[in-house]
Amino acid sequence: MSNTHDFRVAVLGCSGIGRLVSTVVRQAVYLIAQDRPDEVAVVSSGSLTGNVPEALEKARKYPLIVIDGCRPRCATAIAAGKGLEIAAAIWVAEVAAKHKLSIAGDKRTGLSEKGMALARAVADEAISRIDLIVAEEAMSTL
Amino acid sequence: MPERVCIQPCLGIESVESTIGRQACYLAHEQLLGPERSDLGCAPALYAEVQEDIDLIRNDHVVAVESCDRRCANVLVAEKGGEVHATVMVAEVLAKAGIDAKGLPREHLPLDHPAVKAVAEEIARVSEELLGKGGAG
Repeated sequence: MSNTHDFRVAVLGCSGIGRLVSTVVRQAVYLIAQDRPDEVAVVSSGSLTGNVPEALEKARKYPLIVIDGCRPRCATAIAAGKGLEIAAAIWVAEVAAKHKLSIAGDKRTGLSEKGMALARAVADEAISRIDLIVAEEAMSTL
Repeated sequence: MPERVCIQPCLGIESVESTIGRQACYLAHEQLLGPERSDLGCAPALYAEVQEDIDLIRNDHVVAVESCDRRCANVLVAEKGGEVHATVMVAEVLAKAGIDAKGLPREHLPLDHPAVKAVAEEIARVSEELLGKGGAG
């Protein structure tokens, strides 16, 4: 897909550090950015929690997809705290259950093929939402 | 005085420095300092006011690890009522060590990468200083 005007989908992953799923989310965001370089704008959770104006502007300007790793759903909490509207939310546990993927035994410091398989599935779930949002936007301008 | 260090990375995602900082935090926490003396502070969890992360910035020495001059970890800790006791700037450590981060992949770096090791060693050094000042010894 290609965009004809300044339109992207902002992607905010929790990208935490404590849990293995945080690393899965971080890798999923990189996969999304690689696969849809012209359609997405990556917003880092660190920049939002650090009140970086450009990050806040990006997250406000475009439809926002949040990806949460663990139960507190911190990416969602960040969006809510910053007054950002969420276009779609993805929770890693739901994706893992849907695809029957386990990451038990993998390491948060660096994912094996098992962890990357879940990151891929999370990325694909996000990309399907991104493609829909981009398509809706394109249709609305015809 | 605190007997533990909370290593609090900025957790950016767009630059290679943020990845180096993140991996260095793991190395410092898991190997150099050890889980018995250090904790990993999670920025999104702290923002979401997960009690465990609030407790870390209240009870531990806090070492912020910043990947750029926006100093997001410092901003967040202050916003949540904590105090940063030392800050490690990734770019400064790399420059001092003569390591050029350009061209390194932002997606992942192993814990034994020289850039990761250099930053982890600096985190451990400033942490040891803090623990020495306020620790049981």
